[in-house]
Amino acid sequence: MRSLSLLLLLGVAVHAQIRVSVEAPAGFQPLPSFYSLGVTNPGEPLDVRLRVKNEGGVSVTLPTVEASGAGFSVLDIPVPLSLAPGAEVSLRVRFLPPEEGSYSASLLAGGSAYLLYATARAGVSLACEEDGNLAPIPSGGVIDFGPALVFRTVERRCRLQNRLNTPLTVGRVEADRAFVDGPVLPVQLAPGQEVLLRISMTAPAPGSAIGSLRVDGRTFLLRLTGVVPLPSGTILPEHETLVSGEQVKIRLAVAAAGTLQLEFYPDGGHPDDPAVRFPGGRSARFTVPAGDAAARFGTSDFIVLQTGTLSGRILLRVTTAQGEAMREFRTAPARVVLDQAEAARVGDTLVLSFAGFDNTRSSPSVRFRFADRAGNALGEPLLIQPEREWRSYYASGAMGGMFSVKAVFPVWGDASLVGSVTVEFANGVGQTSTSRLPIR
Amino acid sequence: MRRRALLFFLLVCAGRGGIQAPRVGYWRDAQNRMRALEGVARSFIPGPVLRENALALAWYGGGGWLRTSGILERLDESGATVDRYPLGPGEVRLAPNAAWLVDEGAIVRWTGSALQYEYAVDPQEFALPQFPLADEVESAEPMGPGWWHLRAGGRSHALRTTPGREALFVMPDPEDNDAQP
Repeated sequence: MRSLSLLLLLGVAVHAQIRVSVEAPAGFQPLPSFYSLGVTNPGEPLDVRLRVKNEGGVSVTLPTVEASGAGFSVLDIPVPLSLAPGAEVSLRVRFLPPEEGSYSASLLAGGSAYLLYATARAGVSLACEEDGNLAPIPSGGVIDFGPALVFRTVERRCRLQNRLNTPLTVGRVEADRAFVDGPVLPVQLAPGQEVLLRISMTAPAPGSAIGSLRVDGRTFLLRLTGVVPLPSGTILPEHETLVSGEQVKIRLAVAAAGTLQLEFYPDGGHPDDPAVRFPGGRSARFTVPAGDAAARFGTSDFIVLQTGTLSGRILLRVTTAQGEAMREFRTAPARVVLDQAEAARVGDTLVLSFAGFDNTRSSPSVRFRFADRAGNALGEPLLIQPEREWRSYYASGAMGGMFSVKAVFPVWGDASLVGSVTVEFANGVGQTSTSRLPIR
Repeated sequence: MRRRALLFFLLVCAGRGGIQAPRVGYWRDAQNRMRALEGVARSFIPGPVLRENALALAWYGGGGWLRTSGILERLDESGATVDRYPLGPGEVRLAPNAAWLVDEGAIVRWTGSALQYEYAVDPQEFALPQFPLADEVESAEPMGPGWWHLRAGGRSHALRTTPGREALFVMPDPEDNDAQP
């Protein structure tokens, strides 16, 4: 057995007013005299969070914090540690064993002695998906499910991993206050192999819900914050009806910091439109100054939403520690929108160029009406319906419904007689016509 | 004799890029990386990184300038480098076809086929338009015909300067830009 002395030195006169507690599934509990941190792999940290509180009536200064010996260390503690009456500070005790074995450490706090012990044994590791990456969860660590509406089930996808050089067998996976969907047990993992673990939690009431996951003696905390629906007036767009191709300010009437998320469901099964977004992407964090009731995105009291160039449903979801609100907006199918239209003469050729979008992502027909310098029509309108070209363009990975079109008209005769052109784009919703474009 | 114009042929695609994704132009992000800006007004999509270490960028549609460490590059309409000029550390002001080396009192002019060193400087050629957010603008660079990229308050804006269509828009941050919120 390895041993280590881990000392939190306190003035003898103040030891009675210091209370040490440890984070457990049911919240912070008084640290018992003998406390097992649990099991971890050699080389993998196992953290426990302690809370040191001054429950006396006078300030206390802890002059030093000492940790010595292999395996245990104290993290996150300011030195010297001053605690006003009623104040508390969190710190972590980290167990990072170099090799397999049983370890222990003594902790002296406020004149009381505690014995911490832990085991290093080769076993399975846990990692959970987070923002598209796999984040390792150390033994004793927290799998955070974030805030969610009361009674809504939230799932986290995790992986049991064998990071060792020898095969491993996982024999037991249990959860408290959560549901785990995983492989049939026991399951053997070859070196480098991993299996999926789906962990679901439901908050039965507002506030923090804590559960635990135990995998062959290793314990992980599960944390979910139950929230209630926020008032319907939480999400406040600049105007009520959103249309495609606009940038609209969104304000939030909330009293707590949180996250604003966006989901987009394009009509017609079209591919996603990357232009539907906030400036930083599809998620934005906001703060709320103390005493205020409006979100701040950085220094601004609004965030700009781009509605993109496809019709569909835009779902905004606000989540704070106090509650959640959702609001759905519909961008309706619309006529083609032209953002740019130009006509130029290059020698005996007329070059017309247009940029815009068709939020129905169809194959608009295009009608050209040429006129002479006096405005008189030059022949019949030319109608084209380049369906093959539209299909080819959209199949090439087009972005939403946006496009730029260049039409080239070689002219037989005197091209300078052509003075202007009017162009109409027509989709299933209607027609969009340019003004008379002078040919420059 | 009055000649008549006769329209007889139309090309919309035919391998000449008749229908394409619209592009506003090229711009320089907060990490000094050159990117394309795809889209139309109010529907912008920042493109992937094209060049690193872009200390200044001016894009005018048919070509432009890119200043990197110690080099001034002339770009063609595709954004490719067609010529280079070694630069000192001094201030450089950019115009569609000329770069004013302020400390040297000279300009480097793009003739259409080569860079040419000249001593006659007309400051009017390098005059900047009046910008909104004037007090906050940290940088202003042309990024396409009728478009400027303004950086103000740590955020990017697209300024349209096309006569009659002047407007200021918010420019989204690149999705791969981990340095921005």
